[in-house]
Amino acid sequence: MSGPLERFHYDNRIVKLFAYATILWGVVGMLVGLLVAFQIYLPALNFSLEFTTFGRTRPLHTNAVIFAFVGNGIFTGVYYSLQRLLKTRMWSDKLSLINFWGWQLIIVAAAITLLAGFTTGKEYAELEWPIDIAIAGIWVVFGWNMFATILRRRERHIYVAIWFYIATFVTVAVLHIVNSFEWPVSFLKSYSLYAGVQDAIVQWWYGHNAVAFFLTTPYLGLMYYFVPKAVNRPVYSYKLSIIHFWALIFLYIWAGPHHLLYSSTPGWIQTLGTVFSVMLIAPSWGGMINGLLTLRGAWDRVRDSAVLKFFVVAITAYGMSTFEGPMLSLKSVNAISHFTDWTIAHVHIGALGWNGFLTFGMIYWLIPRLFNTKLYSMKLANAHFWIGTTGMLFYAIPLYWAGFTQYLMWQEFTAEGFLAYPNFLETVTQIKPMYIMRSIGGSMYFIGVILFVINVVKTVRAGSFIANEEAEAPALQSTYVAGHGEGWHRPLERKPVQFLLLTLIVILIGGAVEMVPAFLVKSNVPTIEAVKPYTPLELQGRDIYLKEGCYNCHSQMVRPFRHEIERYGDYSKSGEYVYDHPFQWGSKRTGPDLAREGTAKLKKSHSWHFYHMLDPRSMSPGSIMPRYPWLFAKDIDVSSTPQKMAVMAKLGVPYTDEEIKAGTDALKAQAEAISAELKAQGVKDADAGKEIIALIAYLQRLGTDTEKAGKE
Amino acid sequence: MTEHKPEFEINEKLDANLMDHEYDGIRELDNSLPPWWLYLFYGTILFALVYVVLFFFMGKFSQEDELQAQITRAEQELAEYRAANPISIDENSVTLVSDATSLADGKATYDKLCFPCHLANGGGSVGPNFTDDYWLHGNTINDLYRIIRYGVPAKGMISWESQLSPEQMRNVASFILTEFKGKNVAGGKAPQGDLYAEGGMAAADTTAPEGEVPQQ
Repeated sequence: MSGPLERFHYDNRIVKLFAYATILWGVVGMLVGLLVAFQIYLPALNFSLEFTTFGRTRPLHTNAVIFAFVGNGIFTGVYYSLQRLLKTRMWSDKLSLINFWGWQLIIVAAAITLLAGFTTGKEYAELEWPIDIAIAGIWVVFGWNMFATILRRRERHIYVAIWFYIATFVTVAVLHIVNSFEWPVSFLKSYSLYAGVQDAIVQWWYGHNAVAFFLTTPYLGLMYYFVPKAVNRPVYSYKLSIIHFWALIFLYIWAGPHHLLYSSTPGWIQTLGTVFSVMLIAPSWGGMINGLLTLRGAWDRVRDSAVLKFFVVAITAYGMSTFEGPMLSLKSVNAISHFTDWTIAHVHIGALGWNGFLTFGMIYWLIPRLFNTKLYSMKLANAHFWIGTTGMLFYAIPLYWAGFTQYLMWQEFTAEGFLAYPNFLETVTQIKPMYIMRSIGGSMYFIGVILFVINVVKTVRAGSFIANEEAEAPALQSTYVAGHGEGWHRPLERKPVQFLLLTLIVILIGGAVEMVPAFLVKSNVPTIEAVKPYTPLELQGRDIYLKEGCYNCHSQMVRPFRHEIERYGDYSKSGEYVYDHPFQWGSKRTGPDLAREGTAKLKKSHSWHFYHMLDPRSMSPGSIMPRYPWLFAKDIDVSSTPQKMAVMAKLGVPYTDEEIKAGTDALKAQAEAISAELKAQGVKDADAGKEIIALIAYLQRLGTDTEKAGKE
Repeated sequence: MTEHKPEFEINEKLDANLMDHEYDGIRELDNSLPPWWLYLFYGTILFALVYVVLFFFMGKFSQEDELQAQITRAEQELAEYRAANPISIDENSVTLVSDATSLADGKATYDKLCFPCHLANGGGSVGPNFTDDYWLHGNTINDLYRIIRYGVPAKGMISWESQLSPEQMRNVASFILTEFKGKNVAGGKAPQGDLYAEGGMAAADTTAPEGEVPQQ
């Protein structure tokens, strides 16, 4: 049956490069994470510089950890395990290197553009269109190389780890492309093709499945390779692998709308988000069981092995967050957790525990093998494990506490029917100590990472690198006789192309069922006559709002709760957002909601906003919002106005040609009016040409269309 | 690397279902799905079906209904509370208070909510100066109560009636009139509104009226 024995070499160089990149970006991403953790209670740490302000550093942190740290972690593990599971070298060393350098260049471009304020304003998809195109290209290179390698394998069947790699490749490609449809305005500026409710549905279909197919499925694949290798025990259940794999990828794709519970999205889509999230518990736990029970008969080894300790905590963290996730998708729980730090705690159990610890374990296991030596210090690795685990607890527990506390304060009424804490700031001041504890927990975790780097460097120095690792395996024969009673799934495992296509079909179903009606059925977004497009100045102001990342701390979505209506005004309707390319609902309220900021209930004078942006603490003592002095120095990008309006018109915003032509003049006239009013209010240096004027115009517009309609 | 391929160890008791394939030395067991796991999965599917029937097909528990129920309940509770604790003060009936406790309460409110715009000494910045003789919307206790209660949205003065009780609004208005009126602090904001002589009568139109006083 088996063909002649063939000798070949595994490419370890590409694994080494990706491992180094994982470590480097891990350090960078977590360092920026620490910065934002401190900035949130020490606003002076933005150094009054636009580049280092929370609205820009926070997206840098999330992008760096997800796409740079975990992204390179995925490539490290895939490039190592794929070759060995298929008994062949990667199909093309050149493509491997293009994958590597392309990805690193994208990360550098991402870091620079995010700090410089180029952003699409959509969470976890902030990168602008040229980078989006580059990501798609490099991702295709990765998939091409992987698939060509699969096709010339020496192993008849593909192992469960590779099923997960295939699902990851296909789904991430679909998610990234569909969510990134945007119309360029200039080289680094674009508007999302979708608006309001539809943009939100697409974005959270993407956002949730970035968690599913970038942070989860590839790492499950890595778990299926590295855990049995490290513990030297068989995988617990092949049957479970099959069931939980297909169930997981089919169900996951539907779950996105759980990010939009109690929002202006239609009820049916929220219902789908909830039920599919709940059904995800078992498929997720299938992965956890298969990981943990692979350790059966070898638990004593966990005591002695730092690698296994990291794996056990990683898989446990996976089990905890995949139980918590479905719970947070229940409307009654979500009403509490949404917009609070509970969400932040939840994602960090996943990021620090599951992704972080699995990566550390994998690299501790890999590096000695790549360098043909022993790990420099098991003691140091154990120290890393304990300080990292403790750090996680110090990180998460205060944030759970903070989230719950803040919710209780938000919703409390006095007997007289007043909000017990009408000033949002009181609820922030209350949880500041928890923010401080969180930053201590994060620092501990980071100290662990430093120990990790030292250990890796010392190990590398002591070893000698095996760039091309010798291996041998029989060639695959063209004829194959299937075994008796092999089951329905086994044949699929030797047909990777069919496997890929089936995966694609399975993941397209959920997205299609949710998105097609959301786009085609008009009743999903009832029109509100009074809602009009932004004026040219407001449009520019909105772009500043995006650029400064205001959505990182301020939502624009009043939920239908008595306490939110009392605090912010009537709950938000889907028809209010039809001209919002992109939508700006946000996902976290570090500051108050701004959807109705311009309405009588909340309206402040222009001068209040002017002074507040210059120094928030002058108007709102104790505020943790950073200062934005550059808005008072930088000129509004007036010349871009007609082009921006023209692109908006293409996307369906009803600007007429005359309005577009007169856009610049209209902008200047409105800016002059605001500046004059500011001067009348005693602000002497209110220069009509500065960005602050546009931002004030935008903030004062928020919520006013429907307010007018209500009065008529 | 010679030690790279360790033989997978076999545990007679645990590995009865060992399958005959291996990948890079990784073996798999053909164990059945754990029953508790399977029932958990069936349970969540059942939950999903029931949930969809209730929420989608029967239209129960919509967020609009939930809100309506919340508001109805709150209104009932408030009505009961008001029946036991009637409001005795509004902008027509309010009178200036001068007792130390009320003024201290007014000061506390002022120092918490008012000073960012009107400054701690009443000299004004975003909002007008309380210490000169010019007033935009009148300077009687009734005027101040009305402004605090309903706000002047056009000028950025928000309505406080959803945050302050009638007593608190009366106390802070009394505090402003007692503590600041006529003090003419140094460095105060330039005069706005009309010049008022003692007794609250406009003496002369020195400045054009800027804002509108809500007519209640």
